Amino acid sequence: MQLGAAAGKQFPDPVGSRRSAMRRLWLGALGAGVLVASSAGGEPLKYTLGGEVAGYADTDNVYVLTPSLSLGASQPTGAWKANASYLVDIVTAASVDIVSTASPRWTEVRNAGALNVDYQPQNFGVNLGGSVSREPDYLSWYVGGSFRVEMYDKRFTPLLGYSYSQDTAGRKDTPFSVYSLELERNTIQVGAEIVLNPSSRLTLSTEAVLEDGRQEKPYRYLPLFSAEIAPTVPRGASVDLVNSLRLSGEMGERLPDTRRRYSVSGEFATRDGDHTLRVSERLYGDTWGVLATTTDAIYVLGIGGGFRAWPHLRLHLQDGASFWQRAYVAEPASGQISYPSLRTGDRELSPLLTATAGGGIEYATSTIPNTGWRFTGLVDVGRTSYFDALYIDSRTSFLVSLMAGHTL
Amino acid sequence: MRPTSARPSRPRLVVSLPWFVSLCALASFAAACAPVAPYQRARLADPSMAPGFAESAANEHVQAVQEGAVGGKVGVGSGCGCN
Repeated sequence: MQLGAAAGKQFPDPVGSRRSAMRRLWLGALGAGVLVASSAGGEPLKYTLGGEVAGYADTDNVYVLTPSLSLGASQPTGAWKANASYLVDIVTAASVDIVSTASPRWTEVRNAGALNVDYQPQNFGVNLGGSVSREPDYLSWYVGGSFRVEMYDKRFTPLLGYSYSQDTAGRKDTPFSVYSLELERNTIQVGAEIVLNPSSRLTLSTEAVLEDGRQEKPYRYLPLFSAEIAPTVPRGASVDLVNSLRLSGEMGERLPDTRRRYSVSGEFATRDGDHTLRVSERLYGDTWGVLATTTDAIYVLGIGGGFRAWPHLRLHLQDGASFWQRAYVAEPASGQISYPSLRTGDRELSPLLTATAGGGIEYATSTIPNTGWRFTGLVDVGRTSYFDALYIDSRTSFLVSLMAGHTL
Repeated sequence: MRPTSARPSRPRLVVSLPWFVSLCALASFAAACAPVAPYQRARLADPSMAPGFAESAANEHVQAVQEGAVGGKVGVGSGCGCN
């Protein structure tokens, strides 16, 4: 039984037109930046150079090394600033999903660049940004902007934002013109920042993300089981056990072509003396049936000598997508083989709980914001429990980031 | 081969925009009752109060990949409003 992968959508010449549009967007953004900079009026500019090296590893044999660079310029009195960044992801993976399809360990490089310009001449401000991310078999680009107004002596600042992004997934060594899966994403954000008192601030935000297109992973294949066997496949069943229980053949993913994501978020931040507490909460739901809550807290403590340190906690709990099944069933019916019309092997669409604990330390050579050198180290350890997934029932991840920045 | 129909979808979450607007209006009213002079904003201007503090590009990427939920990035980004 060879059931095949999800079929790709073909386009006349998507890469050429996409590249042309991206080039125009980047030129437009650069032009806007130059225009803003030229209107600076000869005031001294502040430049910020930053670098980061991050390393990620998890118990599912995924390793990522991410060096990045950023360059910023700002004119405080002119109220404009611009920032450009570039990063590289070097991913090496031999996860259980790869092993289960008898594929070898692979290494892949992702390049990503971003540009952002912010301008606030009066009590209103505009922010424009764009980014491009490229892998051998994946292209993603994004443009977006927001508008904000400071009201009530800058105690209430509402914001309206919109962004558009497009992802193109393909197969390695195969041109997008031959095979590609396209995904478009429109995002609308409404938010407000409220100054409660001289030391506290509340930020509220609601966001709608409208996704249209194909979200299947071209390389992801699912095992299928008979109706009698499927209920007996245990959570976290090993590759060997799955192979002994599954039907022969495999099937590609198939996901709904539209997804509407909605979230409501709030963050409370307060500072007393030399310590700061920030707590945020996000409630999320989408039309695939995923419901989630994410709580994040950080407590920053000044420890003297230009040093700050903080613990960080994050808790993410989610329900699975409505079509999620640990073991999908295929069975003969009227001379054909029936199978679920929607199916996925994406573990991040299953019910899960992720608890992250970590912290950081920062050393700054100046107490004045955006001045001098700043060195930051972050460590996070996350533990994810999958309540209804094949192959693994948990994963522990480690993330270390080292950052340095200098403003002159 | 013929696909079977998907299981019935669960009730969809509807974000109540009027509720959110009402909450913002209420909060702005509360803020209007508590004047904060520019010279009182030093704490609000501290870098640790800024939305991006203690965040890295790698961390954001990891969260986006590992969590089935995206969006709701908090941070209007207007700064402390001290100018």
